[in-house]
Amino acid sequence: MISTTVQNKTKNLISFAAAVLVWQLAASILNEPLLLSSPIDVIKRMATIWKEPYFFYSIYVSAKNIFIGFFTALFLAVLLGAISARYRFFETLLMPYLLSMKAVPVASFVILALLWFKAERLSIFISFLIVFPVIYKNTVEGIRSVDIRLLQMAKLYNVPLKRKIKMLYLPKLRPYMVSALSSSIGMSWKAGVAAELIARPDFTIGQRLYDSKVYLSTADLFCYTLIIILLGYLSEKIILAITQRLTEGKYI
Amino acid sequence: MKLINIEKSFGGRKIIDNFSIEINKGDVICLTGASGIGKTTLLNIIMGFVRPDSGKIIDIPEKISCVFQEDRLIYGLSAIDNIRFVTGNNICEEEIISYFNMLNLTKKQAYQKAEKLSGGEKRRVALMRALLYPSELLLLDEAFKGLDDENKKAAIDLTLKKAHTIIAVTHEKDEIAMLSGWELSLESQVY
Repeated sequence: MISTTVQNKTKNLISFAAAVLVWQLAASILNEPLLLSSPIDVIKRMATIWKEPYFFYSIYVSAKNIFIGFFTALFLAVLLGAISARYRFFETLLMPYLLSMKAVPVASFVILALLWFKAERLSIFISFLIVFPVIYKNTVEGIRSVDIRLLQMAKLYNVPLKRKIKMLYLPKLRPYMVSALSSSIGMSWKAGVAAELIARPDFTIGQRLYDSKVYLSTADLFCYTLIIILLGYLSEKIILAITQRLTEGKYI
Repeated sequence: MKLINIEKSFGGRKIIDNFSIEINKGDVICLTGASGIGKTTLLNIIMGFVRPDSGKIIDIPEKISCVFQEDRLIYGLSAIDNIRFVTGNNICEEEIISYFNMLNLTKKQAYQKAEKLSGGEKRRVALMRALLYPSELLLLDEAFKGLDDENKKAAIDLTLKKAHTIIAVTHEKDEIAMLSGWELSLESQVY
């Protein structure tokens, strides 16, 4: 088991190293940093980019807005998902909004949101929009997957709601939430930064990506892309660890 | 508790026909009869999970416990947490463990996930859960099925010690004898 994990990690590392090598080769052959920066150029730029004014502040503002959107969506999706799982009419009532969120292109929402909100608020709205349907759907499915016979047993023994939630619903909800959060955290980062790129509020990662286009700095573009990937990865790890802990099936 | 003229049909087939019975405190009733004759349905009617087509139940106990035909254990939880799911903090951990020992289950098994236990062990945990809930009426739906003689004796002894009013669905003559209850056959439809 352990050796398989080590083997897989080694394979991943080798494939990652090979991809970086291909990138370096492509950049050397092309020999045009404007079109494709080499990994070495990106590493060099990364070593200095954090010293720029407002670098950390930009990351803070972007992360703050994306997380406001993400956690608002998480809270409302779990709440409304729980109500929908219990009352079918409520689920039917929400269906048109859910379908709109899924079907309408994000670009259309962005244009609309630019009319409704200030530029700084756009990434909050877009992050919300991307995350809400995924978590809502998984919450409804997770709650409905609880065995009706266990619910009957809990009813017979007058088990308090708090204990039912902690010991019956949350452990059942766990795989659904892990799957929903894994896919939505990264998406919220990507969509949130894309929204910033369009709205260009001051001191955000999106604005810095826009600057890299204006100043034709491909190395900057790669640096900020790596930062977005890293932030998405870290947030996913932290949020999933908290979720695993909160949905652990044990007596309270 | 009185069940008066209870009738229940499923898909046009009458399962329970004009059934009446009076159950007094301390009664031990063993319901017998072929499969599909309505024994479990009757227990479900008493628990309020199935509504009878006609008839009424009066003086139904406020607190009922049951060992269902299936174990109905929460598999993600340990055996002891399955017990505490219904008892809460009313019974301390040490006391619950002592009941595990009475049913020939070890402390180690108490902390094992329910899905890791064998069929007979799950059955005993389900029985313990029902016995440790402070109920006025205990319903047993083939509660001792799959237990060997030694474990069945331990389970029935503890059942009689903890519960006073019992309705047990069973097919086994030895269980009826050990429970010292009176047999009520739904087969004859004479109540």
